[in-house]
Amino acid sequence: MHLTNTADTTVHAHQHTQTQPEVGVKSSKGTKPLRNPCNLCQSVRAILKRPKTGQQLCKECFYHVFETEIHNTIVDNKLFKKGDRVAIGASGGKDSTVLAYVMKLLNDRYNYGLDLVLLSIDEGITGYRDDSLETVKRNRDQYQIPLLIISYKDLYGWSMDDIVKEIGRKNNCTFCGVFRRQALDRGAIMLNVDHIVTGHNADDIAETVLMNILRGDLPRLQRCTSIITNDTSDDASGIETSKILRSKPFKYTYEKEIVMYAYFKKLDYFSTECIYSPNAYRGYARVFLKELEAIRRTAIVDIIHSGEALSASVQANESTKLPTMTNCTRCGYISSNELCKACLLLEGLNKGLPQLGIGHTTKIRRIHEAAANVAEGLSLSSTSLLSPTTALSGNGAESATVVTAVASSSTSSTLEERGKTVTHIKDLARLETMPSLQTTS
Amino acid sequence: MSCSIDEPTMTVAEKRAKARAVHVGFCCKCKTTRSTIIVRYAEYCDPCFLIALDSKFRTALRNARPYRVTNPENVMLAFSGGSSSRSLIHLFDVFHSLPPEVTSNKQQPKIYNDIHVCHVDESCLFEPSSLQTQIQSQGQNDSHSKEIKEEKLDGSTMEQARSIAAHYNYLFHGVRIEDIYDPEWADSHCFEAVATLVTSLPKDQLAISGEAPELLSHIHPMSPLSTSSGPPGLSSETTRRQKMSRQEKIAKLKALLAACTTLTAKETILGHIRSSLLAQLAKRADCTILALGDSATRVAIQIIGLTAIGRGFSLPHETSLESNWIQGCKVIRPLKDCLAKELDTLCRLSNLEVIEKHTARLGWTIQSKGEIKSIKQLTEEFIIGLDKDFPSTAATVCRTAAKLTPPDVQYQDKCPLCHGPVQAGVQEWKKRITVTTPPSRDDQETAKDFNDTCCSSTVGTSCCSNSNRSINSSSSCTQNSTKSHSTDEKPPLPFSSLLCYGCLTNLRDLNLKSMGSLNGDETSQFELPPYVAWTILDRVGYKSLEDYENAFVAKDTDVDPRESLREQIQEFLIASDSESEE
Repeated sequence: MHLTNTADTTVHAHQHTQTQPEVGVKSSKGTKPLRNPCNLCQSVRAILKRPKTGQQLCKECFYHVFETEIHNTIVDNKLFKKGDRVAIGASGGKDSTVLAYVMKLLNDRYNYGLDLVLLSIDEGITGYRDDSLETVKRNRDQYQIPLLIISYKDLYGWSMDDIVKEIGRKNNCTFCGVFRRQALDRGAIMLNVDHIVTGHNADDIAETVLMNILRGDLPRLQRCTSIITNDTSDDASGIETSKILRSKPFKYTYEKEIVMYAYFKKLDYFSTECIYSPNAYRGYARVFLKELEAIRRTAIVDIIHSGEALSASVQANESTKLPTMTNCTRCGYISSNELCKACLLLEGLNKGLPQLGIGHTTKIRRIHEAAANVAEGLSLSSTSLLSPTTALSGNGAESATVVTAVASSSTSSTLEERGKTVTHIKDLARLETMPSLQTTS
Repeated sequence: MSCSIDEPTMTVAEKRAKARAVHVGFCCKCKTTRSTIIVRYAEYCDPCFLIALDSKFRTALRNARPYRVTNPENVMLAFSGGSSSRSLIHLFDVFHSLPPEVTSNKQQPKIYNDIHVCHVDESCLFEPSSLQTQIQSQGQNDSHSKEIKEEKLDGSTMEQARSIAAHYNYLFHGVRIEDIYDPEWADSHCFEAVATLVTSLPKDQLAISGEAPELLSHIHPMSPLSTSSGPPGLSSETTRRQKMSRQEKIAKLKALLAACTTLTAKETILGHIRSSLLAQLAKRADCTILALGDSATRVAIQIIGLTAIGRGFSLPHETSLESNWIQGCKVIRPLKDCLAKELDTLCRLSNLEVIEKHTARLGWTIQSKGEIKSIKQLTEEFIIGLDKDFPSTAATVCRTAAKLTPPDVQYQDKCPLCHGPVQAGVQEWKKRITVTTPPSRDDQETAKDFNDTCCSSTVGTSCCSNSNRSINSSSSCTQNSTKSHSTDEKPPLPFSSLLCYGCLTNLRDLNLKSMGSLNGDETSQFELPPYVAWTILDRVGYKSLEDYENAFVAKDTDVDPRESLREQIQEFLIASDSESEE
């Protein structure tokens, strides 16, 4: 198996240099009183202090507990069925790299019987994503998992670089986040997978729990701790995205341990923060969480436990019902409104009104509508007339996959809306003709 | 994955502030006077501020307990001495003093019958060094510091609190925090026993595995003679018998706190003791309502803090406007809508006397420089800091938690330590996500089914924690403990398995060395108060201490129960004497 650890010797050598005073004891393996033995196996000298428990462990025991916890999470939550096709959301960062590695490892070790694929989103951020995607490509070769890269440029006609150029650094994360979510789903449909796994770790989830309490977002507080998130609500008919599950196998895995695992296994990952990601409010929560962890190392798990208990408390409350889901009248994507967020944001971008979809949509739309009516014959009224037909064609093609359904609706709409700015529906149709899997770099 | 979707939204308060902008510099209520106080976005003059605060309080009070109640109830106001609870007393007084024409009207039913005020004096835990910082710098000797300690003990907050209550003609009930070791503060009045903890595994084994141990408990009856040796106890207000000297109780409390290695654990346990005393005080004064002076700021800190220490399950009970969790005593928080700063201002404007130093800050008890902050303190700084940049933080957090519904759990199954609701299966949950078995057991691990035993982590030892509800199943543990003392012949009762998740987490910060071990090699260096002992017995299924004693006697020996009791007492006396000498 190619997954065996080749970096053993080098790591050991590294440890030698790190813990100078104890080298002498360690090198003579025969001696009886082992100094600083591993808390679990008691037979090898411990080389690390486990962030989650504070136990002193040897490398092999650390790998064991790390992998077994993820396995337990997968098994206990019944994440997969045998034969599932699973896409690993891969950014090239530490979380997703370790996720790809561990998923492959566990799939082989425990015979999950999963068909794994890598799915990457190219936001088009020069100096960040282009480099990280190179890492993903290397991972594809190292782990022998096929890879599909979907770019914002192809899907929406805008790369993040373009968007930032247009709207500045403020709120660009809104675009990126909304677009990525949909892009992942689109990619999953193209790959025909049943499941997307993402590298969200325990720190991320604990942070989200805190954020949602601070923001007072009860529906999200309820959802954020569930390990499987699914776009299905019962009334979401026929739409293909609704069948794809999303899950976070790293839900109980500490970020520090992921870094530790990647470090000891010498995994190839890309570690640069997004250049467009300054975010004040979440930053507060993150710093707070790190300080909590420093005081009590179980704090992260404790917060997730609290979050799970709280989400049960929310459930009992009738007043916080989730909005009913429908399909976006323009692209067919699942949405709580007539237009999905991506279409709304895209409309704003294409019409030079990037504030659309951020803040008070109706107000901005009204202003925009008035302006557009005066300026040119092409106005929003025609779009609103168009919407029902698009919706109809979307619903009519229930049995077909969403890609073709959306494509057909997009062709009908583009016919009537000639001259209108590009929407991502059209681009999606173009994507269909793209090779579904890139096997060579 | 650090970036998120963050949208600039304008809060209602901000919008209102914009609308008010025409009146900049003037009170937003009367619009005639220059404003003197700014609360978040609104400006008030002094009189309008007081009116607004009063109506906020009244609204909350009415929501907590509708006015249209047939029989008036007694209410207990918990008074710590701080500005929030001081405001509570004041606002209650304003609320309850009716104009004469209404008072004379017999038709008008009273809303509250008697108003009582209670106070928990924590002066025994105050930092002794506040007066002696200079002395410390000069290199103090022990005798000197002891003297000053005595001085500080005398400077208790009780009299001050009593005089404030007397000013309103409210009945006053005072209790000292160390009185938690009095037998009378357990759910069953006069429960003369304490609990000690033992680890299920030998200490050396625990030290090697670095694993949190399974804890078991022993119930030790308290000696009625135990006070004879000590100096006569200073009469505490509500004690009828003099059981234990005050110094002894303080020593016990300090031993318990000393066993906690972290400030967070100390503060959490002290908080449990405090709320246990408050609930008992209310019950004993026949008050069916306990009003707490938690402000919005405080509640917001609580919500985040409780989440951080894993107490999300009991959070709705501990932060809601009204909670019916405690049997026979409804807890209300009528100041939940008022910010701490507003209440400070109220105290200042109305010249309300507060007790400067009223709650025990335990920072000084931490010897090592490692942890100087507790999770609570950190949360406090976090929320207050956030509130500066985002002024609606406290209100938003409170509103979030207000929409949570408390869990549906029986009060009988409460956690022995915090008396909060217990969630089932927490230990198993934790075991699954934090694996502590070595790789050699890999194959077994994979074969193991979901419902693992709780002892799965303790390699190759007998499972002691399964003795959940019956003492018979724990006999395997007693067989192991061949060296056990005569006092420890009673099978140990479960402890870890009775706890809620939050307390379980908290007790991981207990110093292992301070606990006894099952084989009797070491004895516990601290005792848990009677209320804990009582709850353990109650949860395990004994109705009373005698019941427990008799069950043990009937099962194991034919010795006269009084005889064996004395034996145990003697053992206990020696142990406690040697401990207090240390």
